[in-house]
Amino acid sequence: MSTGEVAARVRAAYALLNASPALGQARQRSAEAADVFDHTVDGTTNATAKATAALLASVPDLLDEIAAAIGQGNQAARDYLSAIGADGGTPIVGDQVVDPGERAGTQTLDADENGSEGWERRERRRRRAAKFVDKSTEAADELAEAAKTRAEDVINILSRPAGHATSEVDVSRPTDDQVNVPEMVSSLTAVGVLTAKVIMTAVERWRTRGKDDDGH
Amino acid sequence: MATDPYAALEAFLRRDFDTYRTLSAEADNRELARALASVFFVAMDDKFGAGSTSADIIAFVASARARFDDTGDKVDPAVAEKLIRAAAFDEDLPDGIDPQAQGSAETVLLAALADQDGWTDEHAIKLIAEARNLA
Repeated sequence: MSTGEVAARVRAAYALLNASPALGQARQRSAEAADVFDHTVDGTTNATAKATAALLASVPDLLDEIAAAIGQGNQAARDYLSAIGADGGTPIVGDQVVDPGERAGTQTLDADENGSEGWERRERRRRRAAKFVDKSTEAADELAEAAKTRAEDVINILSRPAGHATSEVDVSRPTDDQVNVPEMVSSLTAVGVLTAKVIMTAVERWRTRGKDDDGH
Repeated sequence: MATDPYAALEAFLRRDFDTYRTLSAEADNRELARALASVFFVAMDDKFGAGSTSADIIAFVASARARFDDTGDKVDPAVAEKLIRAAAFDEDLPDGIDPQAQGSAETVLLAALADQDGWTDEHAIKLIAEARNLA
């Protein structure tokens, strides 16, 4: 898993937790987040905890700890911090950036489609679309019925009065005033999920760093 | 004359929900499923096809679920990510994806993308036309 993906999964977990003001939802979301955490860094809970702590606290000076945690050098750790936005830069880096040159089948709606190159692009895209559609609609009845049901859910959410509209969740790096770590930890502890323990441990370790026997 | 499933999806993306309900109820399920898959392909390929990363997809799915999956069990994130990757990164779609999970994910992700990127009616119409041409 790339550092970008790791960071994105941690941020995803944060977004899901942050979107769960209700206890019942928090329980569900937290369980999902715990699952995400479990898969974040190949089961390396400590690395996950440190990454989560860094995310929650938005602390830019965990380079050495994160470098150690992810078992890579400081440059990787810098990339990691950049990925989670903890360095103040643009969040998200990844090592799976798709070279536009390799994605010749992709086009935008406004792309110039004149000439043979445009025709070839369209044909490649048409073949890819056909492959996707054919492969994904083998059980069309079930798919369509599920789509209709879920569309009604979406319509209900979009139709709510403004005061009750679905909150916009920013999955970018939380700022200090957006994150009340003790409150979040307390809330999560109340629902008794593993995630809370992971976060609490991580935050506590971060806060006491320098006092640890590793000398940091 | 059979109901045009693309017209139903266009109404959905333009938030003309009464029209969507009428047209989707009348549409043939197989044709609606194929149209949805085609529209989904175009939307996700346009959004993530060039220059995007796996992390971008993970973040988008999380954001979509946070906004549109209020019980947490309506969109399977693994299915959602696989669908986007198949459309945008030209990865093979694995066998055995639950069609109900797929229908749910495609619908929610489309709505989320339209909402997130502030699609205009014009954009929705162009996207539907592109999907129809590719089908």
